[in-house]
Amino acid sequence: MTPRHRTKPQGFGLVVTAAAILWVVGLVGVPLGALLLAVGAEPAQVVSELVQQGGLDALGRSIVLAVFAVIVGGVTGTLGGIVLARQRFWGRAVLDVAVDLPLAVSPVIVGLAFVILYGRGGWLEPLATALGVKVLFATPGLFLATAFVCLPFFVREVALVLEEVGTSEEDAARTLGASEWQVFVWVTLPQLRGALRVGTLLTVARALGEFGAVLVLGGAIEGRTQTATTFVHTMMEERHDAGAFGMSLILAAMTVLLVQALPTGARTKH
Amino acid sequence: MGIVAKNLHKQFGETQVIRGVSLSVERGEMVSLLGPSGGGKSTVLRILAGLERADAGEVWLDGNRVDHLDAASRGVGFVFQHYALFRHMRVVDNVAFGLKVRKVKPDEARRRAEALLARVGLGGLSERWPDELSGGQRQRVALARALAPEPRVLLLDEPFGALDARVRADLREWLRRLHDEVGATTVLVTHDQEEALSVSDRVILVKDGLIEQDGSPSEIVDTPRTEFVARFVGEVNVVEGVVGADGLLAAGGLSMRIPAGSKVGDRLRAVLRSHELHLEMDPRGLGVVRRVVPLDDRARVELSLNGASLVARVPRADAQALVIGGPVTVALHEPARVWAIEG
Repeated sequence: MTPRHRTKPQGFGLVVTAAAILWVVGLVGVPLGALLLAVGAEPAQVVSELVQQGGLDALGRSIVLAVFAVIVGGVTGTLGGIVLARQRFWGRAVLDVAVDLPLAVSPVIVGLAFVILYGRGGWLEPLATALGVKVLFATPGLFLATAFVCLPFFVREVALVLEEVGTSEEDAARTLGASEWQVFVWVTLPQLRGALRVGTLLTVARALGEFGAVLVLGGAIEGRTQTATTFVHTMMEERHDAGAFGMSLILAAMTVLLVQALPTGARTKH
Repeated sequence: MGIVAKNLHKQFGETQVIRGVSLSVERGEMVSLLGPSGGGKSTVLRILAGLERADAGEVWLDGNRVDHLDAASRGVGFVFQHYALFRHMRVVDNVAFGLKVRKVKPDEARRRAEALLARVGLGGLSERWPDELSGGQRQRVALARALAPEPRVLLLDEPFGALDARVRADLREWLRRLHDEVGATTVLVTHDQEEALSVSDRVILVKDGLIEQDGSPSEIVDTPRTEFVARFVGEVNVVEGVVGADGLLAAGGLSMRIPAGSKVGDRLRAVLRSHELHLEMDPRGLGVVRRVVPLDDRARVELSLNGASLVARVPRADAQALVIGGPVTVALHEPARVWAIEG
């Protein structure tokens, strides 16, 4: 355990601390407060627009996407993280960078790339047609977009923890006669408990909040590919401000709850 | 024979870590691999355990060739420098792990784990978590865990390296007693010569991926084969000189017999262990006493002689007569060891 020093701010430290508080309050607190007031001003209108304009349907779709992202990301990300942390192979450095791309590249651009791939004349269009799957402006497009933007979270968390704990516990289990499968289930997985929890929370937050890629790939079609965030956008455009405020508040509240569930260490790390 | 390794080689990237190591350990024997860090001794141990695979060479355990087997199939107990306890398991579950893997019934495994914990002196701690224990306690848990499946061979990789000097000294005596009771063939890797000499039946010095000397503790101390071994197991002075017409080597104001095969005019380097120097206050003496440090029954004396700094270990009684800054004569107890310079 490294000691943590927290002291009462003095002098220049006091100025910096005050500035930091103002900055955060101005950037986060004030807009959230405004949202809360806007909803509080006309609660009946908010509820009726959420229900009548398909807001609940959109919210439900977003939650399904988040659950999907956690399952797919949890499995592939755990394996990917183990590969990155434990294997040394040609091309590892490239993979290491590629995993972070979804954080660096704008989701709109990614959406566009998938549109080119699966659109008319795209490389993967024949495959999708042969399988009888419609990707663009349909549910598979939403899944693709969400899986892509959530790719880094589990991989990073898992790889980080595995590099920190090293291989000696796994080696100890091997010398005690454990098979590779027993080593994984009894030693490696329990070490990853915290990483999987943080990965889950970050993935859910990202999946719920994703806008650009799901808009480009899904098209925000009401009742089919509308998600919570694209619903907010549609409501704004159609001058149903109450519905937009309501959904925004719901999303903000869910995110705040998620961040609260993060372990303290992870909250400062990310 | 408990353990036999033949001509092991191992390379990591461009570095040859092991360059032809052969050793054998009798059943029930306790042997130390001693040497400086980075010399390859831990790698030898990991190869014996199956945690690393040798590029070339053979490993035999109890008469069976095992180098094709993975660690899980070798039935070897291993103790790591940093304990490597399963931090998400209670102490008793750590010790029972090797039994659980072997499908021993849970209550039987627990009973045996508790018995082992009592045996290593940690009876009341079975429900603790590893991070609630001191370093010495953790290492005893690790040892109990390694012993639980009753391995024929026990391998310890710098087991006391992370502990205070005091705890280390206690634990190594305890380890030796435990070894005598359990009777497993034991190999201990250490860079601490005192540890190696005090617990082992035999000491193997490893340096730069090769075995420098293999012998009993007294052979290693009394007849070190190379300058490196002498330096590693004791406090030494190295002086350089030329073989004179009288057939003696004159070096640093001392003269000593030369090793067989050297001749007049040869430039040689002599390694004099600190306890081989004899000091006497003498107004005509050429040495000057600089410092006297009392140790238990001896004293460590730093002195200068013809511009060279030397260290001597003398009985406390002799040291009483020495005066700081005073002149002394320096003589040698025979036989001093003299080595020819390489190249």
